[in-house]
Amino acid sequence: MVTRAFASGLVLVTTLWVAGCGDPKVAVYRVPKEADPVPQTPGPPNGEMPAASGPVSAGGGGMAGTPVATASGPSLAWTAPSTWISKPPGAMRKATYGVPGAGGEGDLSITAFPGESGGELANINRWRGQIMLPPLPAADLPSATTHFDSNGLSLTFVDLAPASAGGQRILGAIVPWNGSSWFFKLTGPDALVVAAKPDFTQFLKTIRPPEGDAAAAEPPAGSPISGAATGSGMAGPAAGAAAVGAGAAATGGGSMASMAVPTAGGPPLEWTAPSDWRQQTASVMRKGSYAVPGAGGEADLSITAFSGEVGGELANVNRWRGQVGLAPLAESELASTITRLNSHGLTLSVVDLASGTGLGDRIVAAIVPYNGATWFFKLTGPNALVSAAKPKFLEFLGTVHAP
Amino acid sequence: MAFLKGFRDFLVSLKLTVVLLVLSIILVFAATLDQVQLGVWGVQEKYFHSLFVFARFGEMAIPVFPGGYLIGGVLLANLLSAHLSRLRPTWRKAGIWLVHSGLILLLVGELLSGIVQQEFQMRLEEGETKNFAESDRLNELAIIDTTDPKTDLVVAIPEKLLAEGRPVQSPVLPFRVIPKAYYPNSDLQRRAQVPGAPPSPATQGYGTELIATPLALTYKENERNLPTAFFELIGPEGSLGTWMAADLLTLQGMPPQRFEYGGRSWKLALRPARDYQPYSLTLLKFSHDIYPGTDIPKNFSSRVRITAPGVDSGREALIYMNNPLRYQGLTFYQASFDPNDDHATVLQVVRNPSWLIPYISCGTIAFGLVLQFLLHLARFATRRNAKAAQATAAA
Repeated sequence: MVTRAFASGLVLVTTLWVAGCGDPKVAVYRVPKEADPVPQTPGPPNGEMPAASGPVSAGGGGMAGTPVATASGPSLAWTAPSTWISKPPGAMRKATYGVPGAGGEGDLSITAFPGESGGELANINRWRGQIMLPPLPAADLPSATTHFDSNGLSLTFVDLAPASAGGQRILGAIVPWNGSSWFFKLTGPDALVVAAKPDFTQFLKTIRPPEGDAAAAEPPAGSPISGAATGSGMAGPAAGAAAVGAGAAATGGGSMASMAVPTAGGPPLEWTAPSDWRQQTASVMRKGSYAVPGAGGEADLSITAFSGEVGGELANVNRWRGQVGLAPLAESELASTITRLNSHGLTLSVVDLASGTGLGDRIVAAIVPYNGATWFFKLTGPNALVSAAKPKFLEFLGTVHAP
Repeated sequence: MAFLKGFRDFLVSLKLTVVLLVLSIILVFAATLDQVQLGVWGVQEKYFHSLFVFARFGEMAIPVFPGGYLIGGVLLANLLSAHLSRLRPTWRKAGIWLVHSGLILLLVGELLSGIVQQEFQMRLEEGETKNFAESDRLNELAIIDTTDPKTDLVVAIPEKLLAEGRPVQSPVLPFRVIPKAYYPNSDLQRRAQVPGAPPSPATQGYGTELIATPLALTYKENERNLPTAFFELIGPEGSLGTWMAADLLTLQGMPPQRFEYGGRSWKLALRPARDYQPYSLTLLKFSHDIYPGTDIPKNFSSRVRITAPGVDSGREALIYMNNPLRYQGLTFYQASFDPNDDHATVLQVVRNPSWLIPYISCGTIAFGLVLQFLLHLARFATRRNAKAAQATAAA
């Protein structure tokens, strides 16, 4: 009897003990060397942050290889030294070379992104940050860089020595061409990169526009890059790569709550939401956030505001069109898509976007320029739900007013 | 002695079985309702993969109901004890023995699944080769010694240790990692965008330029929490500085932060937890068919090639719905696709050493039921024949 009781107790204790264990442990392992990822866009001003150009998607399968707005169109051409080893470029790169030398191999990456991509200072400071160097003040930029012209292109060259002995050195060149910025960056151990510098500078002189291309070096676009953002779920504006930070709330397959961009300052617009809309905890970048209930679920209403035009109407409408599976519009087709409403002295440009099949999501959104900023009121959700909620949404837009 | 007997009587009692079954029903009901708020993963963790269900009252978490592990564990003990105590191993009850064994196996299998099953995702573009999968829920701080020109030595610290603020000392690290702050979900902004923001805890790397703002956890199935961690590295000579690492930076494709220490090169990043394999998978072709004229998916399939040091090198497999690839203890399911890339697939990678147990237990239960039925039938037939013989003899 006692034995059985003991056995029963032992069974219970063992079961509970097994159930209660499983504390995570620190793992140590060795793996083949992996190349560092390339930022989605080369970088914003003032720091090493990635520019917000694509959603971090988990459910949709994002993970490390998230989408990026790389420069499209014709490619620059170049001639690499025969000793360099051409490697698969990867998703973000236009080309990759291994630069062999004493003690290993340097990594030469060639990337291109639309527009200025943050500008020279921001990108050079981002590179400096990668090898633990402090950021360079703007005043020191001219003395830290070397400019030269080659094959009709204007190149800005920089040589960044490591912060401490034995560290990594970067040789970089930024080449504006055809409305995009091209980045040629050699990273590796100090001694290796110093030895490879003559080859690298010679290589830079071989960079040229493709044969038959009349467009030589163009000045970089001075405005934010329309349509640079390909993210399917950004609640923020389409563009503004030159001024974009990063940051996402809970993200997912095309449903980033917001991308951190410089939000509009000054007094905010005001509105009155219907009583049955549930106010949500806004992420830091949302001015307002509501769950709009309806048949079969809830639609999401995001209210965001950003300085300037942030890409303009066409870029933002086309970004939203992409999110519901529609092809981008041409400039000439924009006017027929937009309904303009006037309310309390504001002009609201309203679009209603759904895929032709009637399935999937629908977006009804308004773009409201106000006080040097652009406000976005965007209702997203299942087609039927958003269609049903549209009249109330339009009424809601009628309540939007300046303080 | 009396206590032990009382305990045994309690453990083997049928009343306990009934109470446990009722508690299970309540647990499942409450969890189903809460799934609206927490999502399937949150519910599993809160209600089923726990000893107690906790309710939060202000800052305090108080256990309010037994969790799945407790109910299942006691039920298992109840079943085993009753078996040991009551049932005698006789041929007449062989079927019941088998049915009970199957049930016990089912409970044990579920317990093992809960403890040892791991799920990851592997995103592959056509032509891409990978030897690791990534968790879509768990994260890790990877501190990597990159000094060796051919290989990297990785020290992966699970986020739980960071969240609990437990200092980490690894024999391969010449410094200790002291967690300072951990935000399970967060947003990042550039410091320049927020005038007057408090000073950053970070003194090195990206964190000096950034502000991390904690956000509420998300439980939506298509969303991911983006943690940020602040931690200090302390060597024998003192502090090396405080770093910030954030999932968002990694997922945005930012290079890991690098530094030099102890004559070695290091890099660090907070990233989705990785599960490396001794073989690699190459995506040869991803097919994403839709019904003509619609956006409705018809079929997804991924043709992959396995490259392994062993005999399977070069083996190709087609993974599609309900036809996973099972290889060296892992199961690769066709899970999803990348809406932004027609040539990228997302495979779900599951490690569950106990995946066969439910099949075995169900088979055992079915066999036991059939056996018990046949035994009864045989006894019934024997008795009827005997009665018929008696009646004939009497006549």
